Amino acid sequence: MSDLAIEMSGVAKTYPFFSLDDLQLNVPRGEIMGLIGPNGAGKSTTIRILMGLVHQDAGEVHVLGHRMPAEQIAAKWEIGFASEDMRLYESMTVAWHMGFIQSIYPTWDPTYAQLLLKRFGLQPEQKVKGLSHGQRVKTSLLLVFARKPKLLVLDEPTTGLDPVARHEILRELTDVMRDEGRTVLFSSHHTQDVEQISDRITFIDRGHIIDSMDKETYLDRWRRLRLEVPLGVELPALPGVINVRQQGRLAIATANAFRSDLANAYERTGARVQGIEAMTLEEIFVANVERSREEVEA
Amino acid sequence: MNDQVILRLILKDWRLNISLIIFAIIGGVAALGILLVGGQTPLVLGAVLFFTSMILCASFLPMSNVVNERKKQTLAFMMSLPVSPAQYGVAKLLSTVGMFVIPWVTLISAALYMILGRHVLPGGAIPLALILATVPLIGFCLITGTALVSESEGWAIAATAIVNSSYGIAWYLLVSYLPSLIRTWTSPVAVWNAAALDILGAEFALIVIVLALTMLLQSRKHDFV
Amino acid sequence: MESLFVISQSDKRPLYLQIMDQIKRRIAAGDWAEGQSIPSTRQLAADLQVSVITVKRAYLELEREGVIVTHQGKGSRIASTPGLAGRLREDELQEHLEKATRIALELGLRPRELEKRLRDAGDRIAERETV
Repeated sequence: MSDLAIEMSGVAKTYPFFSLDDLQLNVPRGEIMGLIGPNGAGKSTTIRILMGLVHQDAGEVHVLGHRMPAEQIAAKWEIGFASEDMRLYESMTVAWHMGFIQSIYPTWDPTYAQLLLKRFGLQPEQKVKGLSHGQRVKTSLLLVFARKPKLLVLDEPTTGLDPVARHEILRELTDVMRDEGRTVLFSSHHTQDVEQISDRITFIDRGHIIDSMDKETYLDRWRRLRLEVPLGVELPALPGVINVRQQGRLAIATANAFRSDLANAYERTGARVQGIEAMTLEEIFVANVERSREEVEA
Repeated sequence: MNDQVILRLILKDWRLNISLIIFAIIGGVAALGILLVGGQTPLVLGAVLFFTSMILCASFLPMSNVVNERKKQTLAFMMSLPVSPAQYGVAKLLSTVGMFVIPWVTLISAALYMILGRHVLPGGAIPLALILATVPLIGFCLITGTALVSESEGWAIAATAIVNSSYGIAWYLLVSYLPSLIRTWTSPVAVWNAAALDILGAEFALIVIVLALTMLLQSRKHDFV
Repeated sequence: MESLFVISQSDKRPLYLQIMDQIKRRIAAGDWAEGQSIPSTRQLAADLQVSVITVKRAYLELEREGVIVTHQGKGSRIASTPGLAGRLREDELQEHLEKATRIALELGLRPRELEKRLRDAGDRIAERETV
């Protein structure tokens, strides 16, 4: 039995205006993988391919040991999937949807389902068409959580939710982690959430994976250096620094492969290092995307 | 384990469309009730409303059950279930056809009851009535097949429009092809001749072909999207 | 347990440092005794709604500092070193003193001036307590 919940290698998919190129993605069992990237980067396509909903043009995809999309039925017994563009049946109630899922999956836990109803503040007899956006999302997620699937694949689970609802979802997501046999892959625009609960982060832009590694290591690699540059000193291009912005005598260097001797390297050129700051995932996100755009224009 | 899922999908579809089925049955039976009044006008009125109920059901059901899944974006929800695109396609075909057959058979039975039990029409009317009433069933299969295979609302609407406009011509052609049935219309007992049986056989053969072709194309589908 | 741990997004420090800090505070305050077992990384991660890897890192660093001890397969416990609580308190004081000194130097204060400031602060605290 592979200890990888998700294994994608060499995956490619071409659409008229977009293509996914040579994608490599591994998610070990028991981990939470956060997928981030700008809109249109390929997050949803990647997720659909690993769910077997879209057939890749090239490459191998294995989910929970099953080859996709050929063995998608077997895989989907153990995967809980929810995506932003997924809708429930408007004319039916929350309770009906719960009953429907329960009738299909033997792993449905009725006690936990009732608990989730309370936690999410949902009324079982309410029809979906009467629910707010946040309540619909929570209903879709309840249907996934209550089944206790081995793998959760969630496309934007907290998007459009108010802070309380987001907190409720994050609580359930991290609760999944109590069982080390269960895995989560989720994509999100809320970099704060990704930063907080992900074990690993994968960054996609324009159909390519830019970065994929464990979160702590990733955050450690990125630093912002505040420099004071005396007149007559030219800041050199140093390895590991992807961007330098200078205005007058002050400069900010953004490093994506920070090492402790980087500060010394600058000091040796005559610049003074005023401060070294960690960066939030959001700042890293923006820096990555800006760099990627510049590379395209160049 | 997987057959269970397909069964659940079919039952789910029936549950979602139950009101449509009930309205069709009520409409059709009520239309037949008008025939009890007796006389020419109620006969025509009742017959028209009877067929209208059938045709409306045949038009709305494919839209409601087949097209809406994609339009209302509940397809992703279905895709997340342990089912393949081919199985989903087959389940959808079975549920849609099954759902129409129920009101169709009910209405035919109610009509037969009206003719044989309540004598609103002589028994000789049965062969022609049956032949004419099978036409909406064919129409339904054509619309459903198109909606399923094309996965397109546009094509489904086009098929519905073409089929609905063709009923008049189809009925006219059938009636003019079967003058023998017009002659035996007033007989108290149903008279089945070779021509009538041939036509009925051809109608059902056509239904089988359309459904089989649809089934074949649905089971070939690899991708949900 | 979970309600008393606060992981703040407004706190600029990395999450694992915040966790380490809060664990040390617990020990320093006497809430967690020496030798007491602490939640597994997965349990604490779920309680705090943070990633397992962040808690693992916090535990790793704490082990390096000798604050906790982890036995493979048996979980983690607070180090049985006597006087650990006191030591952590000492460390905290040391950290604050160094920070204060650094700022004083940046402001250009001389050591004597810093001493006076420290005494003044002590007086103010004493005053507040008698009121």
